[in-house]
Formats: sequence, structure tokens, C-alpha cells
Amino acid sequence: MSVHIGEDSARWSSLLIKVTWAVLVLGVILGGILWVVLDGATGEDIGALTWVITFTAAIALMSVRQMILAERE
Amino acid sequence: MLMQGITYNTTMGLVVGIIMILVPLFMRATAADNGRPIAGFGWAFVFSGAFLGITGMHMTLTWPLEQIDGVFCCAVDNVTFGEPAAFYGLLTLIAGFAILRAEDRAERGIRKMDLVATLRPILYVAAIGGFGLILFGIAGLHFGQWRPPEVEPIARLLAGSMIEPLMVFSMYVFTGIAAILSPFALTNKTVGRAFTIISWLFGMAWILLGLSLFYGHVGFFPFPFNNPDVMHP
Repeated sequence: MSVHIGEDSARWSSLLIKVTWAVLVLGVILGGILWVVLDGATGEDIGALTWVITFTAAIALMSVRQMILAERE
Repeated sequence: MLMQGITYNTTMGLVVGIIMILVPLFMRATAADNGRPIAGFGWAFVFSGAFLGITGMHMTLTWPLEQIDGVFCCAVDNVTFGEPAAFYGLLTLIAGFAILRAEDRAERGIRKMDLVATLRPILYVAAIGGFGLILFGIAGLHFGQWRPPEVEPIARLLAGSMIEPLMVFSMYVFTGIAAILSPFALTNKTVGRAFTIISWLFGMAWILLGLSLFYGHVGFFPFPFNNPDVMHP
């Protein structure tokens, strides 16, 4: 069963998917660079923290998308 | 007495966050009133509530715990993590079954779906528990339990600063406030909006903390594995 959604909601939901992909790709690469470039345990911690923030941001963006769609798609 | 603190609050923290962002999503979906089934949300609450309730109950009943040298946590983990997890996990599990039953009876024409009447008594229980969460937040800040251990990966970046204690304090306090607001969020628009913002924002904070533990807790206890400068045996 599919329920019609408005033009604005459709545009935002499509944009949020693209932003989520961009955040994931950039965050994973940035975390990897920080892990390697920064020295010792602090570098590893900052790299891992970057991945944690990246994954959290992706969840936040997708939850906002679901909130906009309200199960109408 | 256990020789090690409880480390499995990784997924527990994540599930707390999942429940807190699922609730506003559920409210939005039911407000849209588009005739689609809500059983999926019911089962999501059953799963997440069961996970949190079972692990929280195990944690609550595991006592005493040994204090670990160099960290400020652990001895009262069963109280500050286990009890709220058991309380809200079991409540979420029951709410999930209540949603499923309400929809099933509506579909079979027995009784019209009334989510307010179905969920509000359960949310009264959640609201009263919310005051306990606020006190846990204050106690953890006052007695130093929210300080990051100097040996825990990621958390040790914030060792010595007040950032993590204040973050955990606000997560407990605002989760408590969200719980207190929840029975009134069903019928009052302003309260509903405040509840949605607080629940989503602090749900994301629990997810952030939970995900950081997925890395940090693996490297926390087995010394010297958490120190890359020391060769692993």
C-alpha cells in the first residue's frame, strides 16, 4: 500500500538520502586518515570517534527523513 | 563478586536511543492517519523492550560488583544502568504488545483503535520513573560516576574535563523529563512538540554514547590491549 506524499516531503527525503551517503563516505575516509596520521593511542581514539560521530549523523539524518515521510511512502 | 565490571551496556545504550527516536516516529506515523498498519512499530517496541528489559534485569540482579582500579564506574552500574534499563525495557515491551493488541482488535471490529486510552496508563508509570532518572543524573554528577575512565579508549580523550559528566548528566535528566512529559504528549500539542524534540535529541545522544562504547568497551578491560604503544602478547 502506497500513500501519496507532498512535493516538499519528496524533495527533502530524496535530498536527505544523498546527504547521508555523503556524510558516511566523508566520515569514514576522514576517520581513517586521522587514525593513520595522528600519533599513537590519541590518533586511534580520534579516528574511532570520527566514525562514531559519522554513524550517529547518518542515523540522525535518516530518522529525520522517516519523520518527514511518516510512513507514507 | 565479579572480577570485572559490566561491559555489555554497549547495545543497551544503543537500544535506549533507538526507543527514544522510535517514539516520535511512531507518533508521526499515527498522526498521519493514512490507514497503514502500525504493527511494525509494535514489534519494534517488543524487540527493543525485550532486549533492554532482559539485560537490564540481569544487570540489576548481578550484585555486588567490584570497583575497578583507576575508574569511577562499575560498583553501582547495576543501580544506575540496570534498574532504569529493566524498568523502561519491560515497559516498552508491554507497550509494544498493547499496540499490537489494540490494532488487532480494531481490525477484527471488536473495538475502535484508541491509542491514547491504550498507552496513557503505561506512560503514567514511565512518568513516575522519570523523576528517578533525574535523581540518577544528579547523583552521578555529584558522586563522580559520570567521569570518563582514563583507561577507556575514546572516553579517555575527555579525561579530566567536565564535558562527559555534563553530557551523561543531561542525558539522564532530559530522558527523565521526556518520560514525565510522555502521558501529556498524546493530547497536548505544545507538550507533544517539546516531547518530540527532547526525545529525539537525547535519543541521538544515547546512540552517540552507545556507539562509542562499541569501540571503547572492547579495549577497556583487557590490559594492555587498549594501549597501541604496548606490544600485544
